[in-house]
Amino acid sequence: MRRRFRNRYDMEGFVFLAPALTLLVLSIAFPLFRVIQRSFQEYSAQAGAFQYVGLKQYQHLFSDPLFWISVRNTFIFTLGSIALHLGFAYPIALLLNTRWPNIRVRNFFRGAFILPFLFSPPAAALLWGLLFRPLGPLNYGLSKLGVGQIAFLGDPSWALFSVMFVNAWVYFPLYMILILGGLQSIPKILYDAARVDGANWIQRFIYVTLPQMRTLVMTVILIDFATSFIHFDLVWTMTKGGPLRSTYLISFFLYEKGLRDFRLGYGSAVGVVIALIMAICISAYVFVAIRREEVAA
Amino acid sequence: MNRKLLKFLVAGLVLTLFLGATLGVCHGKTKLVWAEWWDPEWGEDTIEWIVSTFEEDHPGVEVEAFFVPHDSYSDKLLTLCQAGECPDIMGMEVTWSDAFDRLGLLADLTPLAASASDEFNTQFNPAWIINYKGRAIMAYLYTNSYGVIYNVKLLEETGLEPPTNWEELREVLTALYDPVAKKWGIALPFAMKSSCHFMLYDFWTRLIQAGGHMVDENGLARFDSPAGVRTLEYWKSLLDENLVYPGTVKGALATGEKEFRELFAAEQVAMILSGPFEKGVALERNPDIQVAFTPPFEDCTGGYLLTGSGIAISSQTEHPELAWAFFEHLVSYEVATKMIEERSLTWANTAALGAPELAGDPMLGPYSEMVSNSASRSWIALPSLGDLCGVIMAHAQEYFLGLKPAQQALDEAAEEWNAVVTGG
Repeated sequence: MRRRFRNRYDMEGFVFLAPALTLLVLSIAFPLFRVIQRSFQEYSAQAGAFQYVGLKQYQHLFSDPLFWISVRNTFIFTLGSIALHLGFAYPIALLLNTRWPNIRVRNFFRGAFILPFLFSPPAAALLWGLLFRPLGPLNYGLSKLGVGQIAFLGDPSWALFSVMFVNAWVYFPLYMILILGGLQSIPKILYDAARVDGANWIQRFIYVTLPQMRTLVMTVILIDFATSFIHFDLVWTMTKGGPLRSTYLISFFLYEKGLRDFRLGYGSAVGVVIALIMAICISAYVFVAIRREEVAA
Repeated sequence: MNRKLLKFLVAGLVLTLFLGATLGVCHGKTKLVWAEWWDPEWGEDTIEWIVSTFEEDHPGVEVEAFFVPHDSYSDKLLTLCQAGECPDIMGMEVTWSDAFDRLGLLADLTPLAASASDEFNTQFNPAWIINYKGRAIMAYLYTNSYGVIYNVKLLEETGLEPPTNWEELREVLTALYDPVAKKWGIALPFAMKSSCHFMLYDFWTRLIQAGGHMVDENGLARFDSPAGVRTLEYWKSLLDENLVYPGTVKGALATGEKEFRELFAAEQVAMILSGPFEKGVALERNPDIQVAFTPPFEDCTGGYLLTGSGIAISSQTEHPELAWAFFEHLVSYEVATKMIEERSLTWANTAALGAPELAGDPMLGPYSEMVSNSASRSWIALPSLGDLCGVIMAHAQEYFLGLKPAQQALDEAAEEWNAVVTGG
């Protein structure tokens, strides 16, 4: 005899889970299903309804050169942002985790380094827009150093790096806090044992800190990838994708096609492709990271 | 006790029904909803005055002005309309009209205009009604054309006369250029974030005067012509001669509308190329600034681009005739005179715009001449205008940076433009 539930406790468990499951289905699964469904449809004003168009939206998308430009820029922006975030956040977190002669000074810097995160992205874009101006303070400083004027936001070879830098400036405190929390949770006994074994500070960093932080850094990279890949507001405010589409990101493409032009079917197809790219990249990263941990173990 | 309670309840019920019925009569008026983004520009008092004067003439009608900020206007209205809650009358930009029309949200104004009042027929230029795919989908409330605007004081101080053509503009810019003091005569928004400004104000305006056409009647590109090349070459020559703020091509590609407005209001540059609304924008930032349009320019020909912002009527409205009556009220002589005199807006009413007392106005005088030139061209509704602006700007930037010749840039831009227009 087939039994749906082995005993009444299973049944009770599902009853307790039901509200959360319903909420999940309503808030995640249903919209996801609708987006996928819409990506195979197109709105017809004549019919006043969405009509099935098969793979037309996807064919159109993959033949659009602007889409591929946006994919390339987004990968550069995302990977660059992750590198810069970790490049800023990790050393500063290490510095703030060491023993300082004066604890008040250390606490002051702990607070000060969080300040950029308090800027809303448009405010940060305005601030850096002023600093990056051709006759702005940064270029004034550079000219005093004998370096020529740099068009940070007007030169196609500089613009993407400039917006990446501002993105790193705004968000590195978030990752710094996460890493600092991770560093503080490493048992002190491990460092003591390493010292007893004669490890210097570089060896302690390589053989104690890095392995202990591996899982957290992996999480940080995943969060950073997920947020940077669909980043919009900061870069949109600063450059709107220019010059020469050198800062044109995939989120701009989605916004312009889906929301500005209100082509919901096409926009949904872009959304589905973004979700797929992210899912593939994240799965590949997690798979490789887990395999490496298993090999190391 | 129970009987008292029953009486109390019955009395309450009767009172509720009476109040409901009374309020129902008050709300028995026909309601028109007018979505607009003009509260900050016109002032809430002006909006209320417009509504109340209409309601006085139409006692059975109540107009509800529904303000939505310009930045989010298109998205919010489209969402509302998709939900079947489209306002009867909608403020509309030509740039958004394609998105609304594609969803079948805009009423055809042709039959309504055919039965318009005599005052409307004599004072409203038919060119201010925008036709798209064989239907009249919107009409301008106020009109715009874009020309060179200068700071009167800065030119007087340097003893320079305002330029009267494009080559004189170059001479004035050369005279104003001071690399040591880091001063330039003009700032132009050549950044991608201002791509529509560049396409409409700088490229299209200059193209008309170079004797060219932007598009054919189907919206397909015609700018890939010798006139188009002449247009791009003119702007590049100013960039190459360091006459445009901040003196380098790459620097100019980072200058947007926000920056050039700040520079102009702060009197760091003497000239910009923009519309008549720029006076109000500059005065808001610098109450002492005096601005004027240069006399209308001519190159191979005269003429300017005729654009504007206007009104569309929802296809979902139950009262299209009343909505049209409200539009006629908006462009009436009474409203137009108030808007021109109090708000310096170039209102779409020929009688009010042509008033003799405006001839001496430093902005409205030349503006009136600019729009009356027979070589002027009307802007037409185009699909995905944002994409088209981006196409022109991206290829122009490549030419400005010396990455490709002007003709090649325009040919490639035309190919992309046509693909957007035809949906290919």
